[in-house]
Amino acid sequence: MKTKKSKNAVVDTTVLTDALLQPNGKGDSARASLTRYEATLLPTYAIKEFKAGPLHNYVWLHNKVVEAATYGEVLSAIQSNMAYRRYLPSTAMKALANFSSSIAKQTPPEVSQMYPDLTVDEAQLLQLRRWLKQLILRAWRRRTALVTEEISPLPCYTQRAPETRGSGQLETSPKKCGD
Amino acid sequence: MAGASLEFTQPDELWAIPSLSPAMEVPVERDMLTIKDLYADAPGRPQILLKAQAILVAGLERMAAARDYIVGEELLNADYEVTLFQGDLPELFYFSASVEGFSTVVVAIHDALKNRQGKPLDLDQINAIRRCLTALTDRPFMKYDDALDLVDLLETTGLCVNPPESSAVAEILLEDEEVEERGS
Repeated sequence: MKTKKSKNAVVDTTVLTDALLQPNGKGDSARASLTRYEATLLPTYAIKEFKAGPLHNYVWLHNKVVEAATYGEVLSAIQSNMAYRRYLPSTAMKALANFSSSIAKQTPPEVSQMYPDLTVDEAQLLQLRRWLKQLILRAWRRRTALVTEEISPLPCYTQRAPETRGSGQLETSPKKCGD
Repeated sequence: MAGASLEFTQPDELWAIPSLSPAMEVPVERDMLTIKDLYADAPGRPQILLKAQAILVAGLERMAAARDYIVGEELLNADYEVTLFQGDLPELFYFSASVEGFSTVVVAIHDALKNRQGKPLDLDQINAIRRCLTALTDRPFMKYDDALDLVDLLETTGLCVNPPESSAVAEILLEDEEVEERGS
């Protein structure tokens, strides 16, 4: 038996963020929820907030990875810059510190010895950087593909994809109206 | 497997294109060039490229075999071929590290296979990986957007292209608002 779809839903920044950036449970739920409506409407302000907030956080981490000399430096940067958060999740930090699924950790020693210019640490950084950049740019590309219609355009706001700078970092401007 | 006996010489021969650097996109006009185009007549062409090509060709052969096994309902043999290919991916990553689009796709395939957690691939997923490998073979210097298209393709078949640690990253980076609300 087919379930009748509800009519319309306005997609807010939280749902958009979960659908685009959350990998598993929350992300799956958000993406599934969007399919339950005949029409999903995305106001431009949600895109603006998404880019200035959650997406910007990912870009920040990406740029830290680009600049870091070691994987430990990235972890330190997270600790230092997120210190204002009382609830910085220790389990998540441990998972990141471990990074057990990294290619570097799964590379047989004889293979990694063949590439002395790329240390295990650098390989981990590079893998993280490759993943973050594709996640960020694909999230931006898919922002409107997830919904049936974009509504309430903001004439003062230019929707510009994150740009890659010569340094390899990403730039997310404009973040607000009139920038 | 094809090319298994090939040796490479020096890591700095990696793709051996003067203007390539880890921070730079490959120029657009190069995106349609293949390895063969670049080095067809070059004397002493870098062995490392041959090695990359060999791993890709071997991967394609293994994925074709896996597809045939699935069609023949020999799931264990299919998974055996996929697992052997999975074992070759780290080396493919190491020597493609400075080629952004290429290594992005390799990382996505690696994470997709890692996330299977022992489950076998289905036919669509195998075909998607084959398409990626074909693209990497034919256009190693593809545009970055084309690499993202390939990652999209993997994801549309139900493969998860995020590393297992992506949940931890999301937990760290996406909870700010909640915390601020609790703190205010």
